[in-house]
Amino acid sequence: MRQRRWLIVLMSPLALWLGLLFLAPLATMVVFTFRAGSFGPEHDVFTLENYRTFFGNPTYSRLLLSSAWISFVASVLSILLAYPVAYYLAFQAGAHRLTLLLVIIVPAWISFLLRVFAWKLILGSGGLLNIVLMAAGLVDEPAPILLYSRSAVIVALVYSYMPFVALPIFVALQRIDRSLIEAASDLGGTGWQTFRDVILPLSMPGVAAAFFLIFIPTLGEYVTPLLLGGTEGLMFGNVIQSQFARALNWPLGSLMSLAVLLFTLALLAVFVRLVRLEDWVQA
Amino acid sequence: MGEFAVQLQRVTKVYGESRRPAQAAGIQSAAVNAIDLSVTPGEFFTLLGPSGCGKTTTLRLIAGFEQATAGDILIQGKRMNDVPPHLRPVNTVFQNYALFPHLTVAQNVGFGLKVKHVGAPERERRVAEALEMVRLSELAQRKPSQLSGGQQQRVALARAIVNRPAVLLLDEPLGALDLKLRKAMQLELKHLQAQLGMTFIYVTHDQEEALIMSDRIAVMNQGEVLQIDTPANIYERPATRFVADFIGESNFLQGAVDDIDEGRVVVKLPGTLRLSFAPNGHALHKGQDVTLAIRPEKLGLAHRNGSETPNSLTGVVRNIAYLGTDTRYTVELWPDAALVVRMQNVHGANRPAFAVGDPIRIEWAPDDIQLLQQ
Repeated sequence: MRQRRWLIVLMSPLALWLGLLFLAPLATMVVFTFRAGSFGPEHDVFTLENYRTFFGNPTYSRLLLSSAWISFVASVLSILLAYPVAYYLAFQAGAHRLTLLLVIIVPAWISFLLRVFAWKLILGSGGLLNIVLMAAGLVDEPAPILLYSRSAVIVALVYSYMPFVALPIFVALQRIDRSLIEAASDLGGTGWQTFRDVILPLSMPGVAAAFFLIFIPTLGEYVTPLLLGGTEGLMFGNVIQSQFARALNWPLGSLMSLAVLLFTLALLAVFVRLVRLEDWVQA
Repeated sequence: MGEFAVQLQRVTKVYGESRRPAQAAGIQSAAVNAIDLSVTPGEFFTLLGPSGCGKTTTLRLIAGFEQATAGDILIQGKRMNDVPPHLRPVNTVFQNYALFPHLTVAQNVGFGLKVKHVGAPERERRVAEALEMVRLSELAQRKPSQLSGGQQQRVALARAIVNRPAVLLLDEPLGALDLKLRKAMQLELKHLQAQLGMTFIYVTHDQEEALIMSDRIAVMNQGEVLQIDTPANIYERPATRFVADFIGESNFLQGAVDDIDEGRVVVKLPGTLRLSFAPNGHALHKGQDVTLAIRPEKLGLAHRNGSETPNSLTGVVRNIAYLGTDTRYTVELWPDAALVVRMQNVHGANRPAFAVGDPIRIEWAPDDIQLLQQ
């Protein structure tokens, strides 16, 4: 019983925090999706009009899907780029591990906005990339398509989120019992077979964690697409932001936020089913 | 060339030499120091020694996980120093089993065959056969985490033997099991080895396990092989004090050679005591300091009756410990020198009774005394 009392004492700050700052706002948001307006008398009118607007206009769901696609491509690219780095850190780096880990993490300490803005300078028509391309004689005049495109958004997202992808993969690789790798080679496995049949499958929990660590926040991104996306690279987050800040249509904005949340949860459920995470977890 | 399954010739392993090449010659840091050993095909060969003696390093050198600093490693007559582990005709049963947690029992056992591109029908047949051999057929579809320690141990064994290696290396495979299971597995392993006719190189720090299972034992300490012999000879005829002390219990007496004559040697002990016995091949000279070893169960106790025989010592019983099958007497010979005597608790009525403080005589057969190298 004493233990139970202590549990309550220890858990209550967190429970309070989650309740006040997560659950209550979430409930408010859900309630808002049924309101007719943001303020005044309409605020107290309950209606399904927002749902009709949202589902009646295929632009919204199409934008949600295309945003999800951007996030998905950015996530997959980040993982493909981060995996070799994490692998090197876990198995080859030796004494340099800490230094290299810092090299990966330190850029993330610089203001996010600044880093996204830097891509504007690199990808812009008078930007670094164009200067290099022209100097190399690959293009004759500045290529305008680099900035304000879906690709620009993806490149910047990959760059911004890479450290957060590398870390969980590194931890998963680090946790693999070295005797399993020895066993694989003892049983006749070549380096590649050992990687394919032992290391890669055992690092999948880290890869899955990395995927969601980048997929979920990038799906809600609006700064990167705002600065680099133009009209082609617009993401769902930008529409939500404009519903709240410009159109002052909080009910529709709330419904869109709810849509993102449910979409992500559904995806997570499918993913967990497919990968069956519990299979990878060692007893 | 192929008369030995495994041969180590002057094999030395020094760890961390790559960082400080200048100090590589520091022999003190050698995990394994210039060891020689030859294992014949079909033999159950055990590397026995305390932790840190280099037995696991020796096994890892044979498996290819470590590179020898000096010397040659031959498997089936072929030099293997530069051959990576996956190309060596050996398999290892790891101390912690090292089963792949994401694969089923059958997939674990089939791993070696799969990476060597053995076709599915033959693979399935051999996996089933190996699982049959370790009596785990019904658990083939389980994951390792769903098995008990003993079952995991048997999967590790099946995973290795299914590849039919020339030599099976076992690194303390029973260390994590409880005593009763360990005893059962010892016999099972020995039986399996005989049935397969496979060469086993077995690492253990458990001297009893080594005596029970091995055809021959190499006793190691501080990176050196001290003695290689059959279990009976290791026990009965230990070459060094370390071997005599590490395997079983032993009494040691310090003395000096007093006289050598017609194949008998007389050793002078403190006081006026003299012992005479066969020197079993040691080259001795008069006045040389020697250590004598004798096993407690080779000694007998008798009440003192005045008559002194050459192979006897007198003393006083200082401690008696009843151990069930036998009784352990500590007998003080003179200050700071005591012998331990173990006597079987045979039929109650015939058992001589001794009490603490009794003056007694200790007797033995002269050939049971072992003269040790200094």
